[in-house]
Amino acid sequence: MKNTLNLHSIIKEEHEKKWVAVSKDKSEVVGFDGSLVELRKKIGNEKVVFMKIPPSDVYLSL
Amino acid sequence: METRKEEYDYTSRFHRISKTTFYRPLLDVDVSAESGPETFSALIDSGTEVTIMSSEIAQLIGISPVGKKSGTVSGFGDKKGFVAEVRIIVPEFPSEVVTTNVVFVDGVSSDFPFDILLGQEDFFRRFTIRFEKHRNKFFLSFP
Repeated sequence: MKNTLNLHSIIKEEHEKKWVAVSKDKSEVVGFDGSLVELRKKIGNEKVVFMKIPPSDVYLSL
Repeated sequence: METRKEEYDYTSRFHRISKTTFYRPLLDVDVSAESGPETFSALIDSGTEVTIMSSEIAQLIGISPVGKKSGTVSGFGDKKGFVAEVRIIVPEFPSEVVTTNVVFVDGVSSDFPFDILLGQEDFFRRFTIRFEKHRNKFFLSFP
């Protein structure tokens, strides 16, 4: 199985509406920032998965 | 020839107000253009006609909006952006490079909280996708 991720086990309220870099095995948050480019600068060349975290008090309809 | 098939789990998201856990079909994809690849967690969205990405991704992989055709995404309100070509690879299918025009829109504002929506015209046309929501599983295969 790929991509197994229990998001709320590692994503906290401080990450909402921000870009988050998680480790490739999805076990930890490597960094987060309001800007994706700034986040890449912060974490250097580390191989990560980026995701934009939606707020947890809204229903998503995309 | 044998069809390759991969199984994925839906990804959970907790809704604070209703105290409900929602599950979404998120898929890791590698995206590149002038630079990259960078890996993003993308939503597989059968309701989206073309693939849509945050304009911040364009910036990260070296795409400038200068000289690009404009594009507007309409849903709950309109979002203006631009169209540019990218390469998308699902790591489990490394030989199947999806080269496609995507619409880059402003993803900074909190009312548009996504990074990538994988849409019908490129992603669904290329891969066979089966959702099993009752098990929170989905499957990708390449016909």
